[in-house]
Amino acid sequence: MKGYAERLKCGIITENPTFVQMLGMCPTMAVTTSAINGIGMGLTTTVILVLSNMMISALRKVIPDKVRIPAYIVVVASFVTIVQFLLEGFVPSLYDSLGIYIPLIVVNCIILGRAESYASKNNVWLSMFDGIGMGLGFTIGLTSIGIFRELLGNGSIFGAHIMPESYQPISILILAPGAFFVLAFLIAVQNKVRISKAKRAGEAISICEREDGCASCTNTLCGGKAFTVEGVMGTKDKLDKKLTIKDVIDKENMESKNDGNNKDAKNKDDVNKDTDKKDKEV
Amino acid sequence: MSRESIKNTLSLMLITVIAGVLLGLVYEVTKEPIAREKQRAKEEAYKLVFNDAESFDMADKDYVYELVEEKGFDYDADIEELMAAKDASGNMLGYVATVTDHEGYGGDIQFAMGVRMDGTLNGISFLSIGETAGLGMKATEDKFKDQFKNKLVSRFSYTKNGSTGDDEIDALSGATITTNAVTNGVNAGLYFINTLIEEVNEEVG
Amino acid sequence: MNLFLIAVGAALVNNVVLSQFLGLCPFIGVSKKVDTAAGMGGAVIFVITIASAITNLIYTFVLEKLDITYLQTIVFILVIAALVQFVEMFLKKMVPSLYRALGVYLPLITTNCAVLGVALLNVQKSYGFVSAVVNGFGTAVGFTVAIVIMAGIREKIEYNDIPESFKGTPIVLLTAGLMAMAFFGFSGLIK
Repeated sequence: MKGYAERLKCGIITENPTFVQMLGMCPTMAVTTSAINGIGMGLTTTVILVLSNMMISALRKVIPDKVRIPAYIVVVASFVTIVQFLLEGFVPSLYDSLGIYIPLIVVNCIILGRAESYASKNNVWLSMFDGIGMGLGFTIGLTSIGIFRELLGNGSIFGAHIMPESYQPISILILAPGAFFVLAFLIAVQNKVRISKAKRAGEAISICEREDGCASCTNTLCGGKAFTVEGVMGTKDKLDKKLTIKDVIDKENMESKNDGNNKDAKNKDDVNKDTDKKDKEV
Repeated sequence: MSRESIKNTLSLMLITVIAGVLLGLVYEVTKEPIAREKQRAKEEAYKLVFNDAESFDMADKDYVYELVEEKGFDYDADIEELMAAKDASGNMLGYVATVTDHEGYGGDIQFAMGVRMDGTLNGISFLSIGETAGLGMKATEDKFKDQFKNKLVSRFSYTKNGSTGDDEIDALSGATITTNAVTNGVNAGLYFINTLIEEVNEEVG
Repeated sequence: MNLFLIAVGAALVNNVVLSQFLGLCPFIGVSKKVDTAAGMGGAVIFVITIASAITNLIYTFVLEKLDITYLQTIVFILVIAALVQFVEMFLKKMVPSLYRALGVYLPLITTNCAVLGVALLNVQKSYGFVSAVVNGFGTAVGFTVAIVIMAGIREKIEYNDIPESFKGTPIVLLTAGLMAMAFFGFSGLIK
């Protein structure tokens, strides 16, 4: 029982995908123009995450290691398509507002990240709770950003006007640049917290294998690396040791010399291990 | 090809095929209720833009398309459906059109609009709109929509400086693209239906 | 629809990164040096243009013909992943010089959200083959323009005195926000 509760806590608080891991930034920025869109996107992702986590966990012994990434993609894409039908039919307003970002859930780092780092190694029930925790964490992240942008940008929350008439909405916040600004301040605040924490107590060690969670996402999709590695390292002022594109390039060059009929998955696997190592050095 | 890679390829293919077949099944099962749900939403919208009509019968929109194309139809919008609105005893009250305009900021905007036989626009009701929340989405608020209500106008235009006449629509602040798309869509629908009404009146007269 | 308008619209007015938030991760991850940014941009142009063409053909001649358009997401993502692998192998064998310039970036964009995003947008806007390719090309050029400008700015930012908590990603995002505002200026280009 303890394990399940811990999964929920990890997802919602200690390993929160939005605020701590900075994953799935494309939908985070694109759909949080209002609180209701944020919660809609969050819950949609949660449903898909739970289903794909369970399915991948159930199939973890069947899927050959070398083709696991494409296999995960197929599983996730199937669930995304099913959820898309249902939304189109029964919640058309949400379907219209989220638009192209629904099928793009396929390439959301969180989902493949969890598949790779958790679901493929743990049993179905734990994976389910991991999905619920992570999904709710993501939902809370999106909803709170949505509330913030909608409140200041439009003077309302969940469509209900609550700001006084005299309030002049800061429309830029619900436009594209607003998304960048809000996120920038969010990360800055977080960095601030981390810096002061680090100063107080040296290195803080997370109980949930954090590096693992991010690292697996690094090269699977979207390249979440940009956020995680930089976000963490920037604060510790080790900019010189940061994983740059050059590392990846060098690695790739070496690999291409080795050649062999490496498939997609193998390639990614190697780069992945490489990143893992780097992350641990940090 | 080594044995292992054949095995890998096969298992990946198997997973894909199973996923595809399952998706097909889900699609078949959900197709019916989804279509019904969409139909219900449409009928609700028809009722909203023509609340005194009892029944809506499919009208021949291809025929009207021929008519308007003769006169020239240069709107970036399509008329998806044309319905004849009738009262309980079967008298013609007017027409309802489903218009899709392609100029929206977040993609297509689809709405239903009802026009009486004398050319009065009853109002519009959105079926599908994905504009920016807080900006373009304000088109769905009554304040904007009601500007199209009960107007005998052949063509609307929008203004940013406060509307002065029946045919002027106050633009949504910060969402001119949405305003433009909706106004154009309404104009397309009006043009379409008015062409038909003229034709019908000529035949009768 | 005028093809030129589609290209300009995709590249500048609805910039893929700055207004649609697709391909954000490489935009922030690979924008430290102008030359790497340009290399990434080149690879993205290459892949997105080809992917637009192929996904369009598959959609029109396979998915629509067999009436299985609901499989589009799953088919597109697999096609794109396979395509990138194929392009990589092809370039390595046939055009080694181009491979040396772009090859290293190819694995990184296998699943760049922008590639799938463009393919889906092409379907959503029911573009024909030529329009789809032009839209893909325009989108990718937009990505390249944005990432190269960003890299140019970041090379300068390195020497600036930035508050500690804004170092790294936050300052990049702030810059991107300002760029997004600047790109609003292009919306007057097409109506």
